[in-house]
Amino acid sequence: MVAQATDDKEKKQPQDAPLLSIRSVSKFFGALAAVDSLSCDLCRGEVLGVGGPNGAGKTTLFDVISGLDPANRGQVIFEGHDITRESPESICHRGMARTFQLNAGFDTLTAQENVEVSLIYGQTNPIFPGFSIGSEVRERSAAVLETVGLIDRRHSLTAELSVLERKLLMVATAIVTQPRLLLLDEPVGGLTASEMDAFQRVVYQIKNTGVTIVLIEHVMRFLVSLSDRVLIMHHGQKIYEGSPGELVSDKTVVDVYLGKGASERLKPVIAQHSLEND
Amino acid sequence: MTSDRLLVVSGLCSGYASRDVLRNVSFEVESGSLVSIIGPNGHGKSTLLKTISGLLRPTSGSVSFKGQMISEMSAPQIVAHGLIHVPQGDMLFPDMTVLENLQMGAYLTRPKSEKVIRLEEVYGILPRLAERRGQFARTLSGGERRMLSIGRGLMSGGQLIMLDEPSLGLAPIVIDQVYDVIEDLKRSGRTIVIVEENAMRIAEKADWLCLLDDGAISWSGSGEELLKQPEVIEAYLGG
Repeated sequence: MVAQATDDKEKKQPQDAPLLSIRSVSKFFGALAAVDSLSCDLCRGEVLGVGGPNGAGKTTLFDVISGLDPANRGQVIFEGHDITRESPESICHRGMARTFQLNAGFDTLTAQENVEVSLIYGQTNPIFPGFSIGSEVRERSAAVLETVGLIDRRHSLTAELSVLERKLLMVATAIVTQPRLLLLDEPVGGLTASEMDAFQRVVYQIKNTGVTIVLIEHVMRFLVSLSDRVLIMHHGQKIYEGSPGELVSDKTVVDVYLGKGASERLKPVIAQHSLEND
Repeated sequence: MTSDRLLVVSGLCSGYASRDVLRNVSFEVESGSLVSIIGPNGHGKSTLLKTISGLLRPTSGSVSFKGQMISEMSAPQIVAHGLIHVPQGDMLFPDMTVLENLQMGAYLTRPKSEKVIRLEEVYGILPRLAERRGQFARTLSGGERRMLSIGRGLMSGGQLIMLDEPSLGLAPIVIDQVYDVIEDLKRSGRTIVIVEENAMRIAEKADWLCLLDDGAISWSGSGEELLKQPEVIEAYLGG
């Protein structure tokens, strides 16, 4: 019963304790530190936007947090549990889900079947997954497809979905596991502005259900509009952590990531975002 | 045909085994201009570039380049004729060096001395590639990979370069650098056809824009005209 006692202790985490705590995490590929002594805490219900130049280590950080490629040094604590070396499926079962830069759906399954697979395997490790899918799984999967706006496409093969629909499907397969933490890796890359707006509405909906979100994105209009806080990485290290509004005033961020042109274009977006939040 | 019309696409229809994508697409590209194909995802923009460059066969219609029908030619013949296609996603040879990747772009070029001239020209436009010439492509950053894919296209020496979403997945500062390169290419007299998701951004640079909606061109005009069409922006492109 020691394990049970420990679990009970961990469950009594105060509500204001960080949902996720990244503590001096490093990930090396040979001599290269893709993530270099990075620390960051994540509060419940917030949206953290992660930016940084190509190759800064953003996706590697997601791989480390989600257990796909564990850290060499440091700790990742999720809801009081040390998950640094846990398997990705175990971390998923604990309540963390992620999406990928490239579409990760099963092309030959329908949209609904993709969500059902995720629901069946995403919450437990069924020894006998079974060959029949119960009505509860069907109903929950359909409800999630409704949330992301894909209910009319549920019987379409995934390979036949548009780019936006595939991205939304990936979100659906993630949220059907009912995560407390959702990691989105460049979710709107390659979308037009109106497609991006449609995607943003879905993310707002998810945020309003209390899910904590970390999103990596180069499209700064999207990142700034959605994020409560922004973290910018460069060469595996954190070079900025703070409000989206201050981003364009940070000389290092402008020099290595935004450039002067994007900073100027971003200012009206930030002003609009501040107005909406006031 | 007047001499300044470099590319003429007439009534082009094309698609894949299971479905038709392009429906009667017609447009022209003047020599030295920058034309952008804009519109929602999945409505045929990349299919259009693939059909022009010979990677897909049109089911009907024609493509004429420099006054010659190219719609019956193979992709290598079209490249040799001077039409370059830089596809989405870079498609580099990851275990070759930057120099070797560039040389692959001039595979069809004879004599050898011409390759040397082109290489110097590409290094002039994209100096970062000269600095990285001995490095494996897989070790490059996202921005450098994009520069290399453009540079490899230029090595074939074409007059018209088609770029499929050159800013996709890049950091803002690198997008600005890629756009600077595109402006340099235009200044050097090359003709450019560019597929871009960020319509408002490309509207500032393009001489002409074609909106591809459900496989057909539903609107075309200058960047200035686009900005005066709120209903087009609202319906297809967003702010």
